Amino acid sequence: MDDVVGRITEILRRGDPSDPGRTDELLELVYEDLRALATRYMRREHGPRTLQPTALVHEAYMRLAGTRPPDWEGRSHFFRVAGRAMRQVLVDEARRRGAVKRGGDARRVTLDTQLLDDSSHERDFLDLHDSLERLGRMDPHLENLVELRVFSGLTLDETASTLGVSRRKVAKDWAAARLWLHRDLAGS
Amino acid sequence: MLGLVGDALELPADARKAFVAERCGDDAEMLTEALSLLSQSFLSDTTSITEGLDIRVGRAASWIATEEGTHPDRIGPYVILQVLGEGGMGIVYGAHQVEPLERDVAVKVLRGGARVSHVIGRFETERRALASLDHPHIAHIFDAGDTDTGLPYFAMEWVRGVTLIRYCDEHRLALRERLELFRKVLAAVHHAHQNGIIHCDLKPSNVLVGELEGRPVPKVIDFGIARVEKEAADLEGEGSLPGRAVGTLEYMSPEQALALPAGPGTRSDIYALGVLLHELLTGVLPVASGTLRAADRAGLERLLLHTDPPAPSRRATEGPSAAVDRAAVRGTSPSGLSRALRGDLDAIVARATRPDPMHRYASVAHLSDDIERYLERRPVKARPSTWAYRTRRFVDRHRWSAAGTGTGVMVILGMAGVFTLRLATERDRAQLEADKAVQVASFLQDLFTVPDPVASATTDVTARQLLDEGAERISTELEGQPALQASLLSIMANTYRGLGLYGESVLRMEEALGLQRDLYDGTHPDIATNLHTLGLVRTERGDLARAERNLREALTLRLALHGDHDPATASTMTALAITLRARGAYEEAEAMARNGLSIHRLALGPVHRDIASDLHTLAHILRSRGALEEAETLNREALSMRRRLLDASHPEVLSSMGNLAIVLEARGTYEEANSLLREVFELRRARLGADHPGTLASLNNLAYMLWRSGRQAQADTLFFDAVVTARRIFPADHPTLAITLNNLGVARRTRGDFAQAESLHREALAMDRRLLGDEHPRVAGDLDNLGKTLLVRGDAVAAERVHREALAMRTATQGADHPDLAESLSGIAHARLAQGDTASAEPLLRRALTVRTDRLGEDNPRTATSAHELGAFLRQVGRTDEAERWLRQALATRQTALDSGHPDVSATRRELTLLLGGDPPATSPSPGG
Repeated sequence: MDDVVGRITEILRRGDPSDPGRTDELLELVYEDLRALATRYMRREHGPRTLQPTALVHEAYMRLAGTRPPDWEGRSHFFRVAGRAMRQVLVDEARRRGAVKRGGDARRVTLDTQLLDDSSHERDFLDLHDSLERLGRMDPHLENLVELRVFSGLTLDETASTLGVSRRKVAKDWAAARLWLHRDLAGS
Repeated sequence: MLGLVGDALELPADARKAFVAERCGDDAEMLTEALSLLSQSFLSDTTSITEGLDIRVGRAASWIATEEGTHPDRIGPYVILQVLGEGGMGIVYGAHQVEPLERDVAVKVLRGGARVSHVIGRFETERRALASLDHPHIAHIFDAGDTDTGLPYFAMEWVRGVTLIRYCDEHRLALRERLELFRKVLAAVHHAHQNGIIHCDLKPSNVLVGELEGRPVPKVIDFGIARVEKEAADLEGEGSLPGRAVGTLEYMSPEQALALPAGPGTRSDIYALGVLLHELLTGVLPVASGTLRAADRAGLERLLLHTDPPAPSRRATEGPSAAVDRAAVRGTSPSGLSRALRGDLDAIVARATRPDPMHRYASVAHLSDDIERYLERRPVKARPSTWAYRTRRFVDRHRWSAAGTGTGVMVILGMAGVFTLRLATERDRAQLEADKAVQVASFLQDLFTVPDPVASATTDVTARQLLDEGAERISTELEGQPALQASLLSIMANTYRGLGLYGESVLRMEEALGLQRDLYDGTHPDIATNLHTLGLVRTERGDLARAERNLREALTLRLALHGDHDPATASTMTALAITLRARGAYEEAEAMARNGLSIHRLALGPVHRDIASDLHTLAHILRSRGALEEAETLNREALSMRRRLLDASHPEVLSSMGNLAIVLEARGTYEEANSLLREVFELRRARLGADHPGTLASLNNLAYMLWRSGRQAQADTLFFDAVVTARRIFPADHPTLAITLNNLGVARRTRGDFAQAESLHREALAMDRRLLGDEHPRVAGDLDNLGKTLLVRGDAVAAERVHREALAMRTATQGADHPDLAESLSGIAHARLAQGDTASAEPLLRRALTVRTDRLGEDNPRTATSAHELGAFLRQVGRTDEAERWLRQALATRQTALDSGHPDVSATRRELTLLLGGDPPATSPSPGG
C-alpha cells in the first residue's frame, strides 16, 4: 500500500494534471488506496472506527501529506480525483451488497434481530449516483463540484480554490445543484 | 440554467420569480424548469437537502465499516446514519434527530444482553446529573433510554474531531500548547466532579478535539458512561477481571484495576489524567501496554503499587529512533524534550499518578493550577517547597537564552581605510536588562531581607548597588549550596553584562564556573552555557584570546553533550565565528558561521530570529573579508527577517540597519547608508541613553559616515564627543575606545593638528596591541594610520617602517589578496616617494590598485582612490597618457558614487586640471586615502 501512496505522490508531483492518461492512472491508484483503507477499518485494526467517506479521503490525503505535502496544484488534483474515486468505491459496495442480498445470502445480525434491512439503502445510494451522472451530463462542472463537497468533504472555500472560481460562484452553484438533485431524486 | 437558479437564490425569496422571468425572456421551457427548481427551495430549506445527500452517502459509508452487519434505521427518535465506532461494550452510531429539534447526535448502544437494561434504572439519578452537565468541553449527554429490543443507549453530542493526542501530533504542538489544551480538558473534568460525576474511563479516545473557527476545541466524551458499563459488565459476570471489558487498563488507577476496596473516585480520574498527560508530553505510556496486559494480578500489584515508573523525562528518550520522531512532533529533540520535562513536569505527572489516591492532587483544579504555575514559571506545588527550589524557579525564569542568543555581542568592523569603526550587533539587552536588573535586585532584596528597613526605605538604592551587595551575600550566605550559588552568580553576571559592566560580569561568571566545575566534574550543560556566555562577554570586552578559548571549550562540551544537530551547539559555533572574525581568522570564522547557520536552518526552519542573527554574523564576516556583494545580500535578508519578526525599532533591527549601512558605504552607496545610520543613532540614543556602548557605536558610525561623505568638520566634532564618552564609560583599555582615538586622530591630522594626531594614534595602537596582540588586522590599521601621520610630520623613514610592519601583518592575517592590503601598499609607496624613490613606488601603487579592483570591482570608491593615487603618481613622473586614463576612471567613479562637493571629487578634478592644463604639480597627498 505504501507503494500505492508513493506512486500517487509521484504522479501528483510530476504529472501534468491536464494529461487524461495520468489522471486515469491516478484515479485507479486512489481508488485502490481508498478501498484498502476501508478494508483496514473493516478489519478493525485501526483505532476508533469513525468512518465517513470524507474522513477516508482526508486520511488518504494525510498519508500523502505525511510523506511530503504536494504543492497546491497537486492537492487540488488529488481531491478532484479522490472525490470521484470515493464515489466509485461506494457505488461498487452498494452494488455488491445489493447482489448479495438478492442472492439471499445469510445475513449476520450483530445487534437487532427485528430490524432486518431491505435493500433500500443501497438503492438510495445508487439513485444518488445516477442523479449525479445526469447532472454531470447537463453540466460536468456541477458534478465535479458536488463530488468535492460530498465525497471529498471540502468546504466551500476549499472547493472554490480547488476549482479556481470564486467562493460566491461555488455557493450559488452548490445551492442550485442541490435543488436540482433533490428534485431529481424525488422523481426517481 | 442552473447558473440562473443560483443567481436567483441569492435574492430574497419574493424577488426570485420576477428575476427568473425577466432573464428567461420568451424561453418558456427554461422558465418552467427554473421555477420548478426554485419551488424546491420553498418546500424545504437547502440545509436539509444537503443532509439528505449526506444521509445517503453516510449510510453507504457505514457499509464499509460494518461488513455484512446490519443496523437499525432508527433508535428512539434518532435516524441512524452511520457507524462511528465499535468497542467491547457497544457500538456508537452517528445519527440525526428530527424531533423536537433537529440536530446530529452520537448514539451509544450498550451490548451485553437484555439484562443490562435495568442498570439504566439504577442510574436514573446519575443519568439526570449527566444530562445536566453543561460545559463547553464536555460532550453533552442529551438522552438515555432503551432500544426497542431493550438495549440501553445514550444519545450525546456528536463530536467531529480526532483524539487529543493525535490532534497534538498532527499539528506538531509544542509542550506549552499541549499543556494549554490539556488544561481545558481539566476544566471540563473538574466541572463534572463538582457536579458529582466521575468519568472512570478517561483515555485518549475519550478526549476528542474538533475545531471551531480554526481553534482547537477539546471535548470529553462518554462522561459517566463507564460506570454504567461497569455495572452492566458486573451483571454479565465479566467485570471482576482486571483490565477486562470495562475501562482501559493503561489509564486505570490501581484502585480500579485491582478493584481495591477504596473504589473509584475523583482521584481515579486524576490518575487517568496523569497518565494521559504523560502520554501527551512524551508520546509513550508510563508503563508499556504490553507489560501491563501481560501481568497477572500479582504482577499488576507490583507494577501499580510498588514500582515507581520512570519519570517522563527518562521515558522521553527511550527507543532512540522513535524518540526522535516523538520529539519532532513536539518541535524539539529527544534531549531537548527530556530537559523540558525534567523537574517540574516530572513532578506533576508523578503527583497525579501516585499509587495511593490520598497522595495525588486533591482535585483536578489543583492539578490544573500546578500546570499553570509551570507555564508561568512559578514554583509548582508538586515539588517540595524548599527555598532552594523556589530560587531555582526564579533562576529558570531568568535563565538566559544564552544558548539561543549566540550573537549577542558587539562586534568591531575593521574598516579598510582611515577609520575603523565599531558596530554593535548586540541584541540589545540594555533596556531589557535594566528592567531585569531591577527584578534581580528586588529578588535579592526579598531573598536576604534588607537588614535595616529604614535605611533601605530612605536610601535611593540603585540596581547596581543591590547587585553588588547581592553578589557579596551570595558568596557568604549561600555557602554550602554551590549549585544555587552558581545559578545566581550566572544571573548576576548576565545582569552586569546587560548594564555594560563587563569586568564584574566576567568575575561573577568565573566564580559560577569555578563552582560548577567542582560540582559537575567538568561536563555539564550549565558549564557549557556559562563558558558560552563568558566567551561572549570577553569578546565584548575585547579579551579575544580568552574568549576564543572559552568558546572552543563550550563548543567541545556542547558537541559532546548535545551533538552537532542541536541549536545550542550551532549558537556556540556562531559565537565562536564572531570571536574568530574579531581576531582576524576570517576563513575559519566564515566556515564556522556557515556551519552554525545550516544547523539552525535544519533545526529551526527557514525563518527564525536566531537565523537572522546567523545571517547578520555571516554578512559581517563576509564584509570583513571583502565579499561585499554577498555581505549586502545577507545583510538585507537578515534585516527583512528581523523586521518581519520584531518591532521596527527593536535593537536587533537597528543593529541590522547599522551593519547594512556599513556594507553600503563600503560599496559606495552613501545616501541609503547615511539615512540608515542617522535613524539608528537617534533611536538608540532615545532608547538607551547617550552613555550606552550601543549609542556610542552609532555615534561613531554616524561620524564616520559624515566623514566619508565629505562633511569633515561635523565629523570632527562628533569624533571628539565619542572619545570623551568612551573614556568615561570604558575606564581602561577597550576596543571601542581605541577606535574612537584612532578616528579622532585621523580627523585631527586632516585638520593639520599633526602632533595631536600622532599621540592619538600611538595611544590607540598601544591599546590595540594590548587587547589584540601583534597579529591582528586592526593593529595593522592602527599602524597604517600612524604611518600616514608620521609621513605628514616629515619622518618618511619611520613611516615606511610602520607601513611595512602593517603589510606583513595584513598578509599574515588577511591573506595576500585582501583589498585592505592596498592601505599598507599605498603607505609604503608614498613613504618611498617622499624619500625620492619613484622606481619602487610604481609597482606598489599598481599592486594596491589590483587588489582593490579584483575584490571590490572597478567602480568602487576605494578602487577609485587607488586609481587616483596611481594617476597622480604617473602625472608627476610625466607619463601623461597613462595618468589621464587612471584619473578619468577615478573621477568617473567618484562622481557617480560621491556627492559632487566631496573633497575626493575635487581632488581628482584638480589632478586632471593640472595634467591637462600643464600647471605645476601639487605636492599635498590626496585626502581620504
